[in-house]
Amino acid sequence: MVCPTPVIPKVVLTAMLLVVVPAVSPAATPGLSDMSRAVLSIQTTVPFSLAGEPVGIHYGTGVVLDQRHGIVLVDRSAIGHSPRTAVGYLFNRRRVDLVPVWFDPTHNFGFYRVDPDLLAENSVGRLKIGDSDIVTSGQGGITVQATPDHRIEMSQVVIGDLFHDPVAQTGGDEMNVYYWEIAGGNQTSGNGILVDSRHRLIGLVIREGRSDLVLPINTVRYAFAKIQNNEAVPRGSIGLVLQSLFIDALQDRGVAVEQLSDKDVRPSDRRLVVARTLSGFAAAEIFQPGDVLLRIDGRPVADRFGVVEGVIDEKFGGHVAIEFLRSDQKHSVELPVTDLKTFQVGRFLACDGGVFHELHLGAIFEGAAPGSGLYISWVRFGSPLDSYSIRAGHILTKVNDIPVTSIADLIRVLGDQHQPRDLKFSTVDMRQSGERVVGTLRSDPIYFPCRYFERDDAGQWSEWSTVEAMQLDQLRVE
Amino acid sequence: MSSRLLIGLVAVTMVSPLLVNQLYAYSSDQWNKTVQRVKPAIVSIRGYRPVWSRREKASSYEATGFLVDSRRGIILSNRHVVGASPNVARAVFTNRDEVELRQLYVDPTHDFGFFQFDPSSVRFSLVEVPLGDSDLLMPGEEIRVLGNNAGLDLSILAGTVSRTKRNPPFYGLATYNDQNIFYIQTSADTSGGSSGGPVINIRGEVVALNAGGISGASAAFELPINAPKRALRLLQNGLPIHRGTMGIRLFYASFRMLEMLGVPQSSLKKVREDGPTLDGMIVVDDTLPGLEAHDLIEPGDVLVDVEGTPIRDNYEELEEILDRSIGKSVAIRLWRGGRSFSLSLAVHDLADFEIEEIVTVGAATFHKVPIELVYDNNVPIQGVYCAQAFLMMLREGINPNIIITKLAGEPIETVSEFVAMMRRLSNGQTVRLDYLDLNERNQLKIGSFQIEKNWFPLVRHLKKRESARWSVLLQ
Repeated sequence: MVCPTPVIPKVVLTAMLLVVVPAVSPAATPGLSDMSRAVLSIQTTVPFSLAGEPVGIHYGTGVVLDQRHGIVLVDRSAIGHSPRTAVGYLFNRRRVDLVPVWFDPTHNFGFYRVDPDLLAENSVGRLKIGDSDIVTSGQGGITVQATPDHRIEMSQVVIGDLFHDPVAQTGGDEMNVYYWEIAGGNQTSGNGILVDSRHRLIGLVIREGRSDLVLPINTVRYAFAKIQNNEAVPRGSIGLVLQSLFIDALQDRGVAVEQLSDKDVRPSDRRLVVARTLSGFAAAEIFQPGDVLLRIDGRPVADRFGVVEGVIDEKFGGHVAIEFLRSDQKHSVELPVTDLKTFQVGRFLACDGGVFHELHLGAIFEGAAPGSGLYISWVRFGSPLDSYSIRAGHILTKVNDIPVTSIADLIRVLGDQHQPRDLKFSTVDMRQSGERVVGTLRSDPIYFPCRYFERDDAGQWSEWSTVEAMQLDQLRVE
Repeated sequence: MSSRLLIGLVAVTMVSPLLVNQLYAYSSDQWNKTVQRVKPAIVSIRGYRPVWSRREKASSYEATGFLVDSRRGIILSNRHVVGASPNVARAVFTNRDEVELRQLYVDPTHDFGFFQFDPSSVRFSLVEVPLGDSDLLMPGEEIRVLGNNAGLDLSILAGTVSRTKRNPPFYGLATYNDQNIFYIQTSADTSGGSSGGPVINIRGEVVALNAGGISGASAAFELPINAPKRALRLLQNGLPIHRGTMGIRLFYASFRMLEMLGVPQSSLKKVREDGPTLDGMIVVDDTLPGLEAHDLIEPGDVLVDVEGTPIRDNYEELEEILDRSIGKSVAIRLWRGGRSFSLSLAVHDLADFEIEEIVTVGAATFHKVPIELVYDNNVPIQGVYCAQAFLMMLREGINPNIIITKLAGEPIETVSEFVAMMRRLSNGQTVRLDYLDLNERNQLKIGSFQIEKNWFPLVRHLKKRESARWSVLLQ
């Protein structure tokens, strides 16, 4: 039996675009100005790039979700691994300092905290959170974006495909979630938020090239609740990168679809399938691309990423049982849940114009094996690395043929240099399918001496001498 | 032997190669031998500039140089290669041996400079290339340009001399441009990386130094080799190089242009009688704000004589007069329209205008106002120039390419005053900034920014006047 697909046909979508109003001012529509009082224009400054995040000054949009606790939601362009200073501009252009609280390791959002008294003083509004699970394709919405000069721009949009697969487009470390596609927004703006007709927050707008995608707001709920209660946000992974496929696509790939469910399945139904596994995880030894997830800890998965993530986060520190289908055979397996915090960059070494750190999830996502080397996140122009073919994004595996898998290894090889010397850097370029690159360079302790930085539990970065760094490392090992 | 005969012999010796050149083109075999002889003296230079300066970003680069003194390990290249800011460079000889280079000298106006290396660090015998006489070059003469063209280590480009007396190439406003000299134009199709390469004649003598070109056209611009010869001689003898200026940029104008500038026909007729090759005169292009010349002289004034020496197309002679008159005044005579007038101008040391300290803090870079900006943007030489504004200032909407006049309410005229003030200000403190915005017609603007010393602390890069070497001083 064939049912109509929930995806809105392109012809209809084009027709809808014709009635889209390009931009409306907050004052023009009654009620919108209340909403815009909850929106902040955010400016962040990144002095050193980590995890491939861009260095420099960036502008973004934040939204106050909780006035009482001063919790501001942002997308990952405004928060991440890199050290950064952040300031927000309220609707009345009042400048406020923002303190990073937490960012999600696999989804495109994070939180800042702002002084709640300042929010109260300035009568800053709070945006109500809607339910992104009841959003339908074809529904209208309003995107709200802060501009670099601290104005708020709004555009009417139409929500299109609700099952956009971020694995296909976004890359990086975004995985296991559905995005929405929207059409009709102001194409000149950056990231922002999406509200429904009743001005409830239903998603975060993420620009991807020329198209606007939306991260549904329900993805944020779990972490937001924890942050509100001042609790840690456990986030785990079993090392599976999933994708959502139609039943008929599974059938084409030789999956015995009759085994998927007791009920009749429709060709337009979807199931979650293993796209690939992350190297270093137990799942890498067990799963193959195309394996269909049936149950996780006894709960049917169907096409819901939220179920998979929910169970994994619940079983943080323990194991989860997975039932999956390969061709016509059902299999069961138990997998340990790895704490994703272990992939957060907590220290880095800046040396010879490069910024080096231990592998973050994005590097593993690109195919690097944990512990296989150090990520080169940034290469400064006019430095030894810049002039000798070493590029940002490479994984440094050896220096002078000595393997380097930790910052301590690298400090041991580079850190005590006082005179320039010849170095052989062996790197792997994961973006070129693991192409191995060797560069020889002359170290430069005068203009680019080694500098070591470490982040404490409160998220504050401080610089240590490389000797201190080695002592810190030994303490940790003991 | 009579003195008349001796003069005749010398003249024949000097002129004969030129005559031969005019008579027939040399065979590829002859050129091959010449190139093989010169090749071992060519080096490809690979390096990076770790610090921003002027309007140039920190970057890595490839260029060319050639050995002119094997005993002292002196390599000649362009000023824009050796650089008037910190530069970390290595030279690779054609036999693949590598040496570390240090900056030895950069000329304040002309596009040449010298690197030096330790000759004992190479394991083979060094070959230096002889320097010819660029005054003998004639249009139509066949040449070869050797260099690390497009980063290909060694390219040999054939060409002919198109012009021998052209004004220096103009690379753009507010950037380094050579001045007060004639350039040579050849038909060699050079590109990036060949900067600093030698232009050789059939005898294997360097006659010019490759400096620039036009992409998409077979035209390269070369500095005549006679310009760096005097500096090399002084360096070889361990003598200081003094370079003087009246604060005037000059250009060579044709007689037709001189007529348009109002110079009477009768005056020009007399000048034409000075020499058959003369086709114009040296004219004032621009003056340096802050010096006397700026108030007394106008663009379009024609330079007639300096200290009694007639000035026609003899830039070299003019330069020698200025170089030996630093700290003194020189008498100059000019034409403005049909009027002749004389005045006396002080000669300043060009070293006083060189950038000798670059300060980086908060990933922003500051130094003295570069002379080319004073000329082109008509700004005073006082104040501190911001070459890079990232982190500390950019986030407050303050762009680079500004001149700071006050910091935290106090006037800032020199880099030392700026450093002293930055030391006094504490990290995180918000301060007021008064500045001239060169991006917006030199408007005086006021802004504020937060002092940031944590991520990128204050570092002073200092150059000693007697050498081109830089040292780093972490505060």
